[in-house]
Amino acid sequence: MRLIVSFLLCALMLCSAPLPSAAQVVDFNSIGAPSLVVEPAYPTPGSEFTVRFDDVRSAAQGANIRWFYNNVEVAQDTREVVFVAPEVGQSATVKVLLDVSGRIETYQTVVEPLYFDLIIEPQTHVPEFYPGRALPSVGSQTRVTALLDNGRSLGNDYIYLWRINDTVFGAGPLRGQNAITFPMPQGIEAILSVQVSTLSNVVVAKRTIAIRSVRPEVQWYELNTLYGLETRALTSFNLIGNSAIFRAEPYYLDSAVFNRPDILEWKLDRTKIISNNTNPYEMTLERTGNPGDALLGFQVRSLSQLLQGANKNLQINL
Amino acid sequence: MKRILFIIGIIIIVILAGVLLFLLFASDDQKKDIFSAFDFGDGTDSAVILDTIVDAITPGEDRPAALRQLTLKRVVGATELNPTASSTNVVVYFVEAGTGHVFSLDVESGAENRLSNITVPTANEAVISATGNYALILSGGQSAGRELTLVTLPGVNRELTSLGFNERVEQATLTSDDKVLYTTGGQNNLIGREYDIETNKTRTIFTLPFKEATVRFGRKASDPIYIYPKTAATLESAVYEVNSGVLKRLPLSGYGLTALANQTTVLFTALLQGTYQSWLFDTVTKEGVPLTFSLIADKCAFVGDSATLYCGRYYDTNINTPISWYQGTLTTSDELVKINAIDGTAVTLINLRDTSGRDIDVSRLTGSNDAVRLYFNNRVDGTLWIYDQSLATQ
Repeated sequence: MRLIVSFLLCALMLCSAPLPSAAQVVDFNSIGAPSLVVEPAYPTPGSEFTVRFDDVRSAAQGANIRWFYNNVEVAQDTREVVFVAPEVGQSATVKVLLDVSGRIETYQTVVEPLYFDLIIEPQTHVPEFYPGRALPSVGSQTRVTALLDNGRSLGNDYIYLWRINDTVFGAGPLRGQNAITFPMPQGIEAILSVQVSTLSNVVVAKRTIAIRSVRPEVQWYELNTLYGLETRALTSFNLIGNSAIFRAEPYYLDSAVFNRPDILEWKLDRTKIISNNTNPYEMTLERTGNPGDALLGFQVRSLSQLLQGANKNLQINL
Repeated sequence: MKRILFIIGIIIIVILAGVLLFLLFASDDQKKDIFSAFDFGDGTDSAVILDTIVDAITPGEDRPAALRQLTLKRVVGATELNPTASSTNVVVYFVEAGTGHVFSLDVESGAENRLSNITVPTANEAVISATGNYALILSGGQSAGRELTLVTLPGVNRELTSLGFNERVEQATLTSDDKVLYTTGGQNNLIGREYDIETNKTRTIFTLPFKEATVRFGRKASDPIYIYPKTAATLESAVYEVNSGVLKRLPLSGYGLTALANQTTVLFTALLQGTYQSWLFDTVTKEGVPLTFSLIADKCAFVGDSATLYCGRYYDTNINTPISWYQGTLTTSDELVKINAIDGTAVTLINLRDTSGRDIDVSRLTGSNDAVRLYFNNRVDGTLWIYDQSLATQ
């Protein structure tokens, strides 16, 4: 009797064990299924790309392989061919004919190259004369615009999925939003990725880039009342006349901090001084005492984001 | 007593009559010497002391040196005028920094003559038409762009006038067909406009979906315009062409990218494996030629025919070079090179320091129509220089 009960309990336990779900079912037929792999997945116009024919079926061993590019035969009996992508707005068809013991199998892929540019526009401070681009710093706002130039007009025809590090921007795909603005996260860089797909959910482009953060830095310039701001930075200054106007330019400081800094401080030989200039980033120094050296100090800082700040001294020979 | 007052009155009336006659009959030059002699250009600057003009005459020879400084003034734009039937002298018009005054300069004699006393405070960039009819002056730049002033220079049937633009501009140029092309910033875009001087009409020629862009205008209003996101060593840029209002991507991209273009060729420099490399790209054949050295595009100009490029070259491929040059923390000491824009072959014309004894940091390079004479600023002190290839010893 005890044996029968034990048997029934075991049978019950076996019956109550979970059955394999659909996801756990492995389709052994798909392993080794022939496919064409394009690398890089989204080539740019005129660039080289590789197409690899993946087929590990034992039946295909020794099969004859013929490669066609836009219906022109270009290679035979090789697993990998390098092509040049067509111009923007055009497409190319790569076709493989496989002769397996007299049975012909056909595989093909279509490549539509496009330019996919991500324009980074950090909202940090640079002087007006500076012809270069501002760089992002930790906590600063950064605008990114995706330009998809494949010969068609941009508009609401695309869906954008943006990620900054591990966070999806906007909590999901965004139709027509080819530009976003986000704060630069902590760390030396932000990993930005974007995927663009059509309304029918066909992915047309993907890209991932690293955006490096820099630390804000101060450069000194002389402000000439006649010529405006001198474009050569100062490392030291010989005061020849009776006075001079200096401007501290905090490169790459978040524009919001630049406009409303928590701390903006001037020092002359380690003593705090007040700037009477209209622009708080400018200081007028007048010769008052004996000749000698003086150290003009400047710092600007945010109290909420400590990495948003910079300071620098300027040696002045009076 | 009455007689004395009467005599004094007569004297005053005679003096006033004399002044009135002078105003009515004296020449413009005479009037200017008396009433407008406020030459701000000779104002002192504590940072730069301009005391001598270098090498006006080649030692031992009775002719000007090939390389020479043309003026003591700071210059923000210069153009050699097209030759005319009435004058064989080579004449350059230039705009003085800070004042915006326009001067003519006889290149051979060095004689300067002020053409415009319209003051444009803090003038920092200018373009003058090769006809000598107009000067376009950019000034200011504290925030949100610069002011733009178009000065009509005096001439036959033309009076000295100036026209201010309502919009703050980022970049601007004056084309050879007398049109003003400029860019103005929107909220998150950059708008390109064309102002026709003759018809006094403005039209939008392009709108960019981003704002931080360097725009290279063509010589004529109808020429293609080349645009790239502003240079940054750690951010990628790509070159776009605007033709008839249509934006088209060229197969040129890279980090730290600077570019310069004419109708058929794009000079571009970008980082390649940590160092800067320059290429010439043919926009017709879509083929590129690598140069054996790197260039900052801002130090170059297509002068004369479209197949020749002239540059100030500085041997440095440091990753920070364009940025530190832009910031003004780096001053270069250049040599002038002539580059065949088709095959990339180059020849050094002159080492500027060896010849002048000064560090000459080339900027605002331009030249005569036949490219015989090259003009450039020394960024160190803003002075205008000439290199006359016809006077160079072989």
